[in-house]
Amino acid sequence: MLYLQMAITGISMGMLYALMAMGLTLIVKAVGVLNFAHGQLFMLGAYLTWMLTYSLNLPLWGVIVCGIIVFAICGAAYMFSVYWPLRNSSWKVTVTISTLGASIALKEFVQIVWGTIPLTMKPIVNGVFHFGTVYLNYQYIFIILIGGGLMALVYILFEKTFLGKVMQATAQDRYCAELIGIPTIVSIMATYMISMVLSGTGGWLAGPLFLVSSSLGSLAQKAFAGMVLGGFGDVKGAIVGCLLIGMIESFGLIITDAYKDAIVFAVLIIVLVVRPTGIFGEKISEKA
Amino acid sequence: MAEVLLEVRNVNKAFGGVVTAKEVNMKVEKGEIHGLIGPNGAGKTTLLNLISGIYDVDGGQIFFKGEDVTKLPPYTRSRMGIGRTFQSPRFSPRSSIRDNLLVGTDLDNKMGYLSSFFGKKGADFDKEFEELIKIAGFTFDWDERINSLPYGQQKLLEIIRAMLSHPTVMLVDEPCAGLNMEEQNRVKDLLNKGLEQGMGIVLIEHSMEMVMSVCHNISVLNFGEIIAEGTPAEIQSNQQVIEAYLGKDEDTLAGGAHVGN
Amino acid sequence: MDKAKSFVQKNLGTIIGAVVLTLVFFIVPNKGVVNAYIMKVINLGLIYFVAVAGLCVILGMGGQPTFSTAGMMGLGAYSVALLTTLKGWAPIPALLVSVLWVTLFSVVMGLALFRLKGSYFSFASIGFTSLIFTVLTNWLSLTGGPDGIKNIPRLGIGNLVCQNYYDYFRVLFFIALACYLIVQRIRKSYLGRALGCVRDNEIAAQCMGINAYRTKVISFVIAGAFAAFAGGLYALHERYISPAPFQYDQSAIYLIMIMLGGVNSTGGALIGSLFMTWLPERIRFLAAYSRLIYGIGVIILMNVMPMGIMGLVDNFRYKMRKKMKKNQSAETPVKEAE
Repeated sequence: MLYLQMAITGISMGMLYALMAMGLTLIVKAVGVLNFAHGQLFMLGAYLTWMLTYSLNLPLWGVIVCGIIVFAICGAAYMFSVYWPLRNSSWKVTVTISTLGASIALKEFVQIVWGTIPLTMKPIVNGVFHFGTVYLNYQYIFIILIGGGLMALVYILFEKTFLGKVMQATAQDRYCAELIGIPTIVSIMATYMISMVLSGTGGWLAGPLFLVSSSLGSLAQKAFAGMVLGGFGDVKGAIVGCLLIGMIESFGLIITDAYKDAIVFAVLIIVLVVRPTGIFGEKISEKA
Repeated sequence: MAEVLLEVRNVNKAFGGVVTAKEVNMKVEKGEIHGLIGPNGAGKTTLLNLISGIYDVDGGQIFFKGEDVTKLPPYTRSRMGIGRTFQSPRFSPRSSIRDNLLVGTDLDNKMGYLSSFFGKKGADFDKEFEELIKIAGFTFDWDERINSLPYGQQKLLEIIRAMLSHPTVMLVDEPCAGLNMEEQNRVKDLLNKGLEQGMGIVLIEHSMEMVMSVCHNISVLNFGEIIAEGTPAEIQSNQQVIEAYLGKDEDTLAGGAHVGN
Repeated sequence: MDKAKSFVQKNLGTIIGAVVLTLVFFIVPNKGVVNAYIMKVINLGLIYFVAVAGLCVILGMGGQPTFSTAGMMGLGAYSVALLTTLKGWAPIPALLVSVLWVTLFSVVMGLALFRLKGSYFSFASIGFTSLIFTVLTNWLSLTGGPDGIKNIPRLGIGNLVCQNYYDYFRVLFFIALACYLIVQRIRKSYLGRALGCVRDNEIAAQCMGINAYRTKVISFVIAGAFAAFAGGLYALHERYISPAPFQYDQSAIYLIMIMLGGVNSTGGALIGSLFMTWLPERIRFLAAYSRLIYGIGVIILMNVMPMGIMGLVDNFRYKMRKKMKKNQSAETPVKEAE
């Protein structure tokens, strides 16, 4: 029974990482650069929802609606300040460094606005769910439900709708997409918005579990690990990879408490040595 | 008969369902320019990539100076003496022109990282480079950046870089595309200089005039298959080639028009 | 006379450099010129430069953004600290042994990490640094956990021990100079050229006889060795270490240092590391806002000068030279026509 409990915590933690990883993968696919400030966007999401809930005293539905709008605006603003001016840069590393700068700035920004003391946030539904000897915070179940639902929505958006096709086309070849009349600025912006909504929601869900503080951003490292573990630039792979990371972390507690992070990264490095393309990645032959 | 430097034996390659090489056989002898022609997408560049090891073959073998190199990685093959150039020049835009070209000499000297760190630079680079750039017929400023040179000069420089490494077999991918007549003649001179040094050259080219005038032998590829092989004269009169490659208009071949992109 | 004159002309840069360096060496480490606090900041800048010099090789020449620097520094720093405090080794042998084993360790890590390409390599290198950080924080019995290790001896041999920050500067000055020369030498050697090829086009590099994988691993090992050395120096300079300065965030700072100075230039790396060590101290009065400004500054920096300060200088020199040549050729049009 303990294992069931661990599995559920593992999956829900993995779900949080997956929310970040999905957004990251979408950005990587769309513009070909890493976003090292993704953890800070996640953290920003937690702070913003805290503000909506406790400073503006909005009800739950209000938090959700306003949250999505605010996240979308933040995503667009982020894209215009960090990526857009550098889009024609001959060297992608400049964008990488720019996102590093953004991560530092965001981390300090939230501390200036909301202070350095971690804020508490109440879970969506208070209380503990128990089933036999299994005791679980309801929040874990909400994370799985909401996270899973949101990811499914985004998946449908990408695969089944016109906007999704447009975004995919832009991701594959920006230049060609422009030639056939796609306003790439809009589709890239949409990608950043979706990405921010995903991580912001993740932050909102993680808030009650971890306290809202600037160290929430470090969870992104697990999302990175999940992405690499899952496979190259593949959304499904990233999600499965993150769920695995969550499980490894959760079951790692059986062996050690202090080193649970170390176990995650050790597994990551071992997997990469054995299978450099990640678990689900296929070998992509480079265009010569 | 001259020494066979490169032999491609029954090589196959497919990307997904697209067959780009099907039972390809080809021989390149010392002192020969072997033309490789065919319509766009016929698998010419793929064949070069297979020879230089960028792609692995699905089946068949590649022999270099009698040795089976099929399983060797590209850098070993180039160290053995398979040099190449690319359709569009591939230099490092952020390195100086000198550094870009010195890599060729380094390859020739079989330079090691440590010996280069402690030792001296490639000594005869300047002399040899002078000689080659004279053939290429232009000068440039060493302070210039490589991307600011005209496209034609970049292409010539890439051939020079390959020649600085003294390859035994040089694979040249469309050296004349985008070049003016003057520069095309320079390419010819450079290739002939290579022949003097005893190379075997594989040349992909769309300019018929060029192919017919410099090549000793020609293979014609279509859909990954070699449909004809022979001297330029034989190819020019081969009905199958004319149909596959040029459509029905025979005049274009006789007139030496530029076919392709 | 002419011979001497042409020698001077040819080596003008070197001579000026030598003079400036000598002046710096004798003037800077004096209480009247800089106070002990600034001296310490400059020393730290030089130590960071040693680590950033490694980044010059792997990022500047090889184009591989790595976050392993802080992790490797941590390994170097902790092994020096442990060897000197627990085993009672002298600082120099401890430093050498630490660098040696971290270098060997980087070989293994490089072989593993470079099975990945591009962004995924960077991701995995973050994982590596996080792993080291977790171990350093949690292995209480050995590393002392978050409390760190105190009472690390001063740098020195026998009775020749650095007594204050000024003495440290005199040593670090030569170390930094040596690192600078080594990196410059690498830049001019085959390794530098090969890395340049790998950075811009791996396939073309392979066709020029360069084993891209091996070359990248070598650059990783060099970066690891430099970082370990810097870490060891850091331990001996601060005389107290905790896991905090060896986090992933710090790796990001090293990347910013090299990008600020100019990724294609060793001198730029030095400028970048000194400036980035000095700046946070300088704007400390802004308190909470300092890091915000700093972060936004980085974004602006990438927009205004993606190739850093030295990139800007290079561009300027290049344009001036072009202009001068144009003027020259305009003056002698007849010659041009011939």
